[in-house]
Amino acid sequence: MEKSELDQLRDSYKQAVEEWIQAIRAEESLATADHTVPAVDAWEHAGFTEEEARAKAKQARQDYEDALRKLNFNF
Amino acid sequence: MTTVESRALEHKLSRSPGKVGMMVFASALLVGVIYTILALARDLSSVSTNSVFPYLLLGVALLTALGFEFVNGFHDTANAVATVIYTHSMEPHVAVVWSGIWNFIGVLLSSGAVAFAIITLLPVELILQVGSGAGFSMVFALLLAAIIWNIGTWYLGLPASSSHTMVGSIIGVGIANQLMSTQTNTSGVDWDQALNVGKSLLVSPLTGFIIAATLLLICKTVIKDQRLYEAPAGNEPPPFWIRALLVLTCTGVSFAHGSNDGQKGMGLIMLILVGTVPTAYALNHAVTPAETADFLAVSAQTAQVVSKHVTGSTTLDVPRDELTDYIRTREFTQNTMRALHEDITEIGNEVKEFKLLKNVPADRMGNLRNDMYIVSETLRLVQKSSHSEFTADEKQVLANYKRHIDLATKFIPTWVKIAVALALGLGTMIGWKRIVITVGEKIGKDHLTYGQGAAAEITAMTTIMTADGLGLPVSTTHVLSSGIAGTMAANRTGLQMGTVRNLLLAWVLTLPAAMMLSGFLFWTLRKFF
Repeated sequence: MEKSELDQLRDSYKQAVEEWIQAIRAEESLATADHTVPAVDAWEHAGFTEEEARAKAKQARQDYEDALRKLNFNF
Repeated sequence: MTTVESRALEHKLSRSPGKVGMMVFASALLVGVIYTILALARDLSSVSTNSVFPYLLLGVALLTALGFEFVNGFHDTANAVATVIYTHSMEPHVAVVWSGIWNFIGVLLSSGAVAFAIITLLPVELILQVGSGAGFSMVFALLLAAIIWNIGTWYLGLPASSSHTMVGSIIGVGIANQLMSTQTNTSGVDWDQALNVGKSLLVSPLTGFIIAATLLLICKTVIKDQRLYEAPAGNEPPPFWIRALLVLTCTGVSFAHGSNDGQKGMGLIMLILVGTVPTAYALNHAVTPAETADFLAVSAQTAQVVSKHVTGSTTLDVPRDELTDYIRTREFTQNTMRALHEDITEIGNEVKEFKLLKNVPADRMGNLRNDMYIVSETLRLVQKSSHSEFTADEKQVLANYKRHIDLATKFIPTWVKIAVALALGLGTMIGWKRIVITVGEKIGKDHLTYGQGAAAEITAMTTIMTADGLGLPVSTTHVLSSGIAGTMAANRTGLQMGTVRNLLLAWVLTLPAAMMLSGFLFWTLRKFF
């Protein structure tokens, strides 16, 4: 495993985590004093986006972790 | 050991990952497969049948049984290799090939005690009619259920117990058999045996946790080398002696796993062989004239001992049915004693008539085997029974007779051992990563130290070898996983509770899930067979 590949995986992971953080903040910001159905719908949709971002971050973490295992334990 | 020697070993262990071992194993695989095919062909040459169906059935059943061993191999590799990999004691690809080879050797040198202990858990009437539709449904349901559950837990990276899975499958078939039967005299489950196995499987994880934790604490008190209790720095292997110890325990666990788990498949393969081609496998053709003569003398002595306890003079129509009832119900009556005497005498007469077991005609072979099996099981239960009428000396005579009779029916041809050894060994080398990661990274919160790895693996090896010596099927997986958890607890490094919860859930669910799976499969297969 080349160091550049490892760096790329780490960057992807960091970027995915950043997107996840943004998604959490976006979801949180939609929890307002507006308790109408359209507002709740928008908040819930932001929740789905957050779930997708979380899955992407977890996958990126897994890829990075697998690469580190390959580097350190050779499997 | 000098530094130079130590480095030489290190070099050997780390160079060209597994290539030499893989080539050795590939050669063994080739030779083993050829030998197995030739031996099977030789055995089957004495079988005369116009139908191709028995051979087809035999082929499918054998492949399924070997598939079970293959899956068992890759499901359980982690038990032996996780600690050596995560302590950098061995390069991973070397470790799995090494483990595969020692599993192979373990199977070849196994005693056979566990193989036949597993069979005694099955419903007795299905064992006696293993060549019937019900018998085949039982074998296929057991194997398929075990394969499905093992693959499922492997996919999720959960080190669940293959022994639990097998026992659950057996219980499931027993219950389904009882529920489906319209007759009242069918047996469901040998609960005593199941309970014994259950106790053993329950004790193993506790033993693993406590002993490994204690061992680590003792090491910390006695051995002051701090390197043992710290996470490996970089890719550095542990000090030579601890590395040697870890490689030794990996070897021991692999060997013990082979000699224990390999037998489960062997027992079922023997049932398959007896069911499909009884002429070749119902009785041990390798029994010599000298052993036969010895058996006849022991048989006469045993019949005399049993006759002392028989009262009355009525003759039973089918003594075997009486003994089957005893095995199922455990209720020893005067008729049981009479039936035992009649069956022992009858077996002696038949062996005397044909002089050698291989001379017994095909149409009588199955019957003679069943008589021998039933008498052997009866004697096993009588010996265990607390209210037996026999004296200590008489029990010794019965035990001696049982040893002789088991030689005729409880045998495992060399090719079966080789086929199972290859399947298990090959499985060990494939698909091992998922569970190794769980065991090595996901149980404890910190990296496994050299000392923790050694404590867990020594515990696993000694527990398994002790249980193997006693003929008890023990879960290698539970001992090792809980051993690692024990060392983490002792080290106060903490446990990953999510993994621990999943592990416990899988361990608790394995038995009922395997029961339901095999019961359902048995019910489904009975519609076709």
